[in-house]
Amino acid sequence: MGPAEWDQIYDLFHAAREKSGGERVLLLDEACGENTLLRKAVEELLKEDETASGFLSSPLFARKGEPLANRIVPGQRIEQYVTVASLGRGGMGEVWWARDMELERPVALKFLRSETTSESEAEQITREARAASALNHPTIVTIHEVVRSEGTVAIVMELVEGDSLGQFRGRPIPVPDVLAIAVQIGEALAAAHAGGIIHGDIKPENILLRQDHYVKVLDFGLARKITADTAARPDSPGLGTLRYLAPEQARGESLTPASDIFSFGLVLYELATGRHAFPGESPLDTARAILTKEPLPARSANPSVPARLDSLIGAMLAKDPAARPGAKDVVGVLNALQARGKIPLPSAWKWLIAASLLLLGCFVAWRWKQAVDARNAPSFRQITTLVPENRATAAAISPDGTQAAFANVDGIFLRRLDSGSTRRLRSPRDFAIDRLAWFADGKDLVAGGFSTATQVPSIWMISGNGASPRLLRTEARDASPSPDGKHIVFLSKDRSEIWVMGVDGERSQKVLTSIGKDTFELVFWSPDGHRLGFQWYRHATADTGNYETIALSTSKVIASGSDLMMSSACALPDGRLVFLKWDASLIASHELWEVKTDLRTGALLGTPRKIATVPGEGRTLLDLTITADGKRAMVLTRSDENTIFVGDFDQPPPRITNIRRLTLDERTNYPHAWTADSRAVIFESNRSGNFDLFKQDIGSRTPETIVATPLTEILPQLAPGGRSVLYAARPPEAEQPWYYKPGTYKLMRVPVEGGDSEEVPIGGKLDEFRCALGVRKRCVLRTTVGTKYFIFYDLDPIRGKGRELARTRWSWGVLGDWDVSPDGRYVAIPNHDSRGALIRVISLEQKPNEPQERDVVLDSLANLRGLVWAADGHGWFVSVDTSIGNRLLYVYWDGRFQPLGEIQGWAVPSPDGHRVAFLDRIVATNAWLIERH
Amino acid sequence: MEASAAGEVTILLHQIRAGSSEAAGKLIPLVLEELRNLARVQLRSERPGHTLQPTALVNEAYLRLVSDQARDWHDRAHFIGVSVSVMKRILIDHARRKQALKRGGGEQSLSDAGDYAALSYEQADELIALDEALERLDEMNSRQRQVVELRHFGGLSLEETAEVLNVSPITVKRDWVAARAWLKGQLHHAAIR
Repeated sequence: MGPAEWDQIYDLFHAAREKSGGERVLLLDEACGENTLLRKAVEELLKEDETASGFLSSPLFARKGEPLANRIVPGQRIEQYVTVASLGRGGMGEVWWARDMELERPVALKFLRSETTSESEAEQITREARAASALNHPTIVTIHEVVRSEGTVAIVMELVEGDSLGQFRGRPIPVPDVLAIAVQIGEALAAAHAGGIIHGDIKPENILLRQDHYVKVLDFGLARKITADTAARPDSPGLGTLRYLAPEQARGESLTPASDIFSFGLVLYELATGRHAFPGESPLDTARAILTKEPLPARSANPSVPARLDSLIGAMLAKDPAARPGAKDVVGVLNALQARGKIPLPSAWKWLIAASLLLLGCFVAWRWKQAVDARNAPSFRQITTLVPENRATAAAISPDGTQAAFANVDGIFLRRLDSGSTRRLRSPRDFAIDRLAWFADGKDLVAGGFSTATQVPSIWMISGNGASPRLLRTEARDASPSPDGKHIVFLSKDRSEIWVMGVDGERSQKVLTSIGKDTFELVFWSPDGHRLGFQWYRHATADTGNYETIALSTSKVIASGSDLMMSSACALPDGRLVFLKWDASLIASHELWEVKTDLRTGALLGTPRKIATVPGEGRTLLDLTITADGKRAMVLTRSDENTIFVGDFDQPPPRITNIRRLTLDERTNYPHAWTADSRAVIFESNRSGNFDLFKQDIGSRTPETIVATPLTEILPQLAPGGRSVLYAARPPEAEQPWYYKPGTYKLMRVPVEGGDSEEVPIGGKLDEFRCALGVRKRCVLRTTVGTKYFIFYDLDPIRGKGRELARTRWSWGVLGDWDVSPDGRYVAIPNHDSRGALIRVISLEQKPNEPQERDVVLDSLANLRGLVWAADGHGWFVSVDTSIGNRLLYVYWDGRFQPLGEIQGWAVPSPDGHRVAFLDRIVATNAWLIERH
Repeated sequence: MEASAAGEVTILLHQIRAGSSEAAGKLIPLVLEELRNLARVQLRSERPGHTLQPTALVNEAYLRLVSDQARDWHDRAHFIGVSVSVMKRILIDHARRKQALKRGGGEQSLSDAGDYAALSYEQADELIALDEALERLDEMNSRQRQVVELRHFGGLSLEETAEVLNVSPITVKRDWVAARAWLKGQLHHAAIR
């Protein structure tokens, strides 16, 4: 669209916007005439405008935790609404009666508390609320829109004149009234559940009773997952709701329609008996009772409750969600009760199954089915136990499920799953294998990988009976054999093409080329071998999960789907597609899913469902393979760790040898100092859940704790004298930004053996501090004056901040990038420029002949990250950023340097200079079997 | 940034207020380094999806660069006017690199993730789609594109935006309403997820 056209639309849009209804139509008629394109454009714009008030209206990423901008008062204006009077305070915020000035009608405004609502949460709430209201059920409160103004978010909804069911608390109401109310609630739930929406927060306060006895259910979809943590906070929205949580909700599991039924059952119980089914002193007591106790039958609290209603409530309050009736079934029973059906009455509610059998045949069948599914939980077994040095790089289960093939730096191996006996297969030399695929007959395999010398990918035929490997094709990857074993599908080296070739390498044919810079991520055969399924990545929008199938005979795409997000996939003969689901937010796969597909076209049938979650935090899954019957699957699990290593250091030339791993823990570990005897490394680690300080002897496998409290403790330094550790501490991060914001930390001192911590007085905010390694043993405190200066002060571990030692002009830095020399006479500060590297050395002692500071220029380097002085004071360990990770260098006093390795972190030398401790990442990968029953 | 550079920024801002576009051109390089550094620190977060405030970054850059005496809201508005496109580019770059991490197959090493973790995938998606839509808007009406940038990326109020663009606040409001509705329609049609 060009500027002139847009101008026209713009003007007409504004003109029409000021009018409504018939006047608007007339205006458009006159202005557009025959020009339907113009009219359509304007109408679309007007339509978007109606719901655009929340769009882009707040700055890009709102700061969490900003308090509600204003207290709400009558007469306050938000968009076109003006508040009139408060209707009370709900769990999520205040509800106000307001007037819609544009449409001239009363509405209810529910203001959401800002501290519990972020931008994306507000959007989600809007979506869910609208979805529920779109169900258009008379019992469900209509949501009009969500409005925003000055940091306030409010849901605009239908104003219902009436009180909530909370008005009846403490007294039972007559059974016919209970039934009349309950049927309506049940119908609302039935409609919502049928529409795929769960309420999640059914409680008396959310159910309004109008004067004419119509029921309105509020807040559909607005409930969020309430965990024990969030619910227990005093200002938490969920506090009252704890009393109506389903057991699985209280355990923090996800909501299902059955959770609504449980809460509904509690409401019914309370209406019918005037008491809560699980009485308790506090909401937490109630929650505990919900989880563990059985309620007294309603009938014993109120004998006029009919037995069948009693059974129904009992069934609704079953601890096992699968045992609860569905909303429709509940409505059925309630209707029957109202009509006084003539079905024989069981005498106690433990006969509920019998009663259900009589009334609700489908209920029972459904219950059995749920039980069967519960028995289907898969089991996991680790098949290889390789250490990172020889970690598995590929694995595949044989089609008959009896063997696992896996590859690592030592070659390709076959392991029998029953006995564990392993034999080695012949594999190509100097070749790293990243993929294995079995032929259907279980005899041979196709291996994909790359040459360790040239990095070029190629695919090979691997023999199961000792023949030498045969090169199938170079510049090819991701290959797998067809079900009949006669063809092989593969991707070109750059993933832009899908090819098929005969197993002997003949008749290779390109099947599909991608568009532009798009790439294929995975490709697999259909069970009948006539089709290929694949997933591709759209480069322009950087999105993945695009699934398509293509018929080989015609090379035409015959089915497609989106959002599958598969990182690895297998097609089963019965049309199911089993895959590892890629979780973009965690940059990992943890879950095994499956989806049915049409056997002829590969089109997706129904929605995918999760089969298994592989246990283990911080792990990702790769390389799914599966047996033909779908019962056994194999995956690689891979974990990355921030690990501390120690090595011996000597020079010339500078090098680190005898490297061994120090921390044997999967969480994040950062080294910062050594003990004075050069025997133990002092580090921070979050293995306990938050960052604490530890020291570990280099010969030991476990650390000792120096300080571990709920506070965040970081950046330990050994103080002069070697008996105490200085560190920065701050309260846990709940409401504070993550980054090291100067001023939020305190300087603390603790004995190196552990003990009580004391604050070190520094007369102001803590910026950064470092302690010298060597004999002189000085600590230095650095403060920043705006963007003008750094000032270095002497820092005494007990007395705190001392006299000023030196100052230098301010320059941009990152946390911990500078250091004090071992003799305490200098500080060194690196720059962080992509155009050049230099280290500024500042003298802390004014000497007559020496310049106060000088710059050491590092030729041909750039992007310095940080430095640590070497133990002899004649150089630094410098970490440098590169496009593929970090490098560690040893830099001399005069600017020459020597690489130390592709180490993803910094190095800290021991005081005696003979060792270094450094941070690096290690990757462990093993093959696991997932067995479904 | 040294003391003398801060003074230079103040002078440039005055010139910009007086209408000098040449001054704006001179200001950008001064701002760029500052913003890039500030952004890099914030974006190298280890907490995915945690809050990020580009408007605060621009503010911080302003506070660092402009001497105390010179600060008034007009200057701040103009400063943000100059900075916002720079900040936007920095954010879009990061968003694109974050997108590159999204590819399935587990090929990216987890060490890359730390660099862009402060931007969630959702935010990165939205940013990129918005950027592309804004370019299309710019072709239709450049001023409206500026209004969206100044308000959404820069956090400027209607009055401040009007000051920067040298138009009346009512014009800004009309631009804002129309552009917003159009962009919303555009983002609905974009192939995101």
